[in-house]
Amino acid sequence: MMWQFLITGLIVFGAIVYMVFRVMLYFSDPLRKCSTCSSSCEGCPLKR
Amino acid sequence: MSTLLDLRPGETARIIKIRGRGHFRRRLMEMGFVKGKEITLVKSAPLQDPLEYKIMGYHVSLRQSEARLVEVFTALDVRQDEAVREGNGRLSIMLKDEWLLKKAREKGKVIEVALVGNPNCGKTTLFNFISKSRAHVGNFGGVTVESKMTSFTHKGYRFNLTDLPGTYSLSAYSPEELFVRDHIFKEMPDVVVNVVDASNLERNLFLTTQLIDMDIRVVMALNMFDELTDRGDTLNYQELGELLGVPIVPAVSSKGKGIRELFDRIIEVYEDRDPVMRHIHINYGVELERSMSRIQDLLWQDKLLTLQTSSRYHALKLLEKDRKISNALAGSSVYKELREVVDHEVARIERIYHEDSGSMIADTRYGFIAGALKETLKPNPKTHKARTKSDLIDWILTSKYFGFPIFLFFLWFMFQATFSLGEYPKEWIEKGVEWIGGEVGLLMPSGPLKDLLIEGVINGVGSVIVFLPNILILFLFISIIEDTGYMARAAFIMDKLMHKMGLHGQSFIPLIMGFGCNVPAIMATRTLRNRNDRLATMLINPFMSCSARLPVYILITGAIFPEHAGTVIFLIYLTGIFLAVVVSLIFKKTIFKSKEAPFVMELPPYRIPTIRVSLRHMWENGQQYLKKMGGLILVAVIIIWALEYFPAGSHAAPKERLERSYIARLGKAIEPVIRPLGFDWKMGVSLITGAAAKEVVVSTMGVLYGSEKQPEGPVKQNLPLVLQNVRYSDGPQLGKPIFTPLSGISYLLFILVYMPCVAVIVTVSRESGSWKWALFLILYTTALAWLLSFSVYQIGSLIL
Repeated sequence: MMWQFLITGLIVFGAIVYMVFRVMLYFSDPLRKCSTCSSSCEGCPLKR
Repeated sequence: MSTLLDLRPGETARIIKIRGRGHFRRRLMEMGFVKGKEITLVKSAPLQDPLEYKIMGYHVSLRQSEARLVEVFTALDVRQDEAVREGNGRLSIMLKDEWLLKKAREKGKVIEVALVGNPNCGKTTLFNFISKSRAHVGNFGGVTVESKMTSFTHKGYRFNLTDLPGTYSLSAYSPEELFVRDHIFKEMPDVVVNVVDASNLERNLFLTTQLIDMDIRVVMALNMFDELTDRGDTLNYQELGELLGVPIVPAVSSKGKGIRELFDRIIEVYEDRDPVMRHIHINYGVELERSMSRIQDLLWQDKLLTLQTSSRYHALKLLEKDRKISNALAGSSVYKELREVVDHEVARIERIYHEDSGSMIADTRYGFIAGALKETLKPNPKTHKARTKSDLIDWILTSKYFGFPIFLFFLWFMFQATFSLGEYPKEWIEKGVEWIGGEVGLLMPSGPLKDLLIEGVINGVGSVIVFLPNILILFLFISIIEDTGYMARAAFIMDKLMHKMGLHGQSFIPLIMGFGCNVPAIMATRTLRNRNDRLATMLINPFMSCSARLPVYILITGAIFPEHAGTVIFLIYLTGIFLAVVVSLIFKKTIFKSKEAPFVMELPPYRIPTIRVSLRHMWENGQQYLKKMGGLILVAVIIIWALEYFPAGSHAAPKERLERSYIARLGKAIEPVIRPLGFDWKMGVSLITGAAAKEVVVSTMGVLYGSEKQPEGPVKQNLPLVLQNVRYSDGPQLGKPIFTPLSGISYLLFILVYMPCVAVIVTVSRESGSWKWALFLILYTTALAWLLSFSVYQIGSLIL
């Protein structure tokens, strides 16, 4: 049980850190979020 | 790369290339400034300008502004180059003169190329073919808004190729025109490739005439040449090239035909070996030529003005009343006199011809084009008299009576197919998710990690991933309508309506893009010239339901209206368009008052899309959707699960645990605001988490309503079934179903209208240049969503 608590805690902490990082990233490059747009961000014409 | 300006007194270098244009380049080359020649800085004048150089045994003086345009390769460059290559910092090479010459020649084999052409002439297709990239191509204009670059090697030359936005002209009329013009002036590409749609020569050549006036090195790619020949027309393109002084290469970029020949020709032009390449002067008539000559006399007095840009081009632009050019010249010593002469000449021309000077120049250009085409183009009389296939299809699809019903039917059909065809693979994925949940349940001992994996990850991500088939089908349809050219017709049909309601016609392309994702759609508003039009279009764009909202629509409609889900989704999209029109009308009459700018919508010919391209577009979007599952959505469900799981943890029963959870406290705090809309606190929390990304609404529901599932197994019931059975556990509606047709419609409306995701908000603030508009967007959309849902739910409750 204890190991499950530890791993769960680590995963949740990692997820929170990643979420904060992603939100910060949006502010520098909002196109990162735009992943399902019709023009597909892979080689998106709007991306420099 | 070093230039002559970087040399120190006594330092020697080899010439790589000469930038700049026209007579400046020619003069320097005649003086011996050719690739590979050795040049030494002798000394600089006391004020650092001019500089004295020694080349071919004689001394020559250049100004700093001129020296900056000569790229050279120095001994220092050699050392750096070798150090990088060896990677160990050893600088033991012998600087033999022959070796330096060889290196200089190698460095001189880098060609900067810019692709310039009308919208929808196939620049991006050409770019994609060369770069093997998958930049988005649509059969409508305005897809490329910024530039993109690729590099490749051909016949020992390194090509740095830049794809610029499509533009009809190089005036300062719209941001993309200005962007292209600035790129040519500031970046000074060695060769400009003018991509011309062979099936629409007359209009495309207008831009060519402007490039000719700029006196830069141009090669024309006569794209879609097969369409011209299929029509039975005959074009003597060699003769046309000689008339224009521009080498022409016929090409079919979608099939890769003529691309090698095009780059062979670019090398010839770059090396000044092409026999066709020459600078011609389009004759603008006696009076205009006289005016230009007077203006040029003044421009030549300030040498700096004509170094990078042709004086004839400047003169033409000043006569066309181009404000940007006029402002750019404001720092010149001759500006005051220049302004007086220009004003006098414009007035003189307009007095003589009773016509605007800009229109006169445009007319003359078209006259020149007509003359050049009369000499070289022989249209097939049969096809030109008969209606083309495109005309016939257009006669039906854009007709006064059938156009709109066909468009609506097509939209309805698209959503119906998206929902019903997607149901079968959706069921298979649901079964797969169930099986994975069951297996993990059997393998793992009880504890929080098991709960996280089954209730959080598998439930949450699984509830979104099941919509992958629907997303793929929708994007297949969107890809087909874009590639066939029907998207432009849809814009045309809607434009008529929107124009009548005060919305700018050109706003429609960004709005259509919004059905995919609002972020690039908002960036695409850069094509709008008027700031007020741009802001209005940005602020209504989120009403265009982006594909991230589709899973929410399918989930709710599938749970509440399983028989008519496609129709309900279609109506939701239509409501979005209707709201966009109404809100835009209000904006235009209140905060964004502006005069309507004229706009001509181009209707490209219909084309049959290739299966490969359509499937590729579909798969790219599917891939993006899957990537999102493994990233943002996975992380969001872990956090949501933790908020739902703690503080009670695994010791409490699922229902009790949820009631005591952190997320329930948050949900219950906002419940008084959302209860009048027919939502319970879990729906409210889903709306909040949806601000990160709209798909998270579904995954949040997957986690929160997961505890409502029947005890026989962790993932035995799919989410729509759970939503059908979920009931209020407290309050006046105790025991009544939460998801009724009325609360469902209210929720769908709220999802459609309320604040967009974080990325869209950031984009609006960046594109509008102010957080004020982003904040306004959040507030007005959320307030409007609340009002609409409140009205629907409360009025509906009274009636039903």
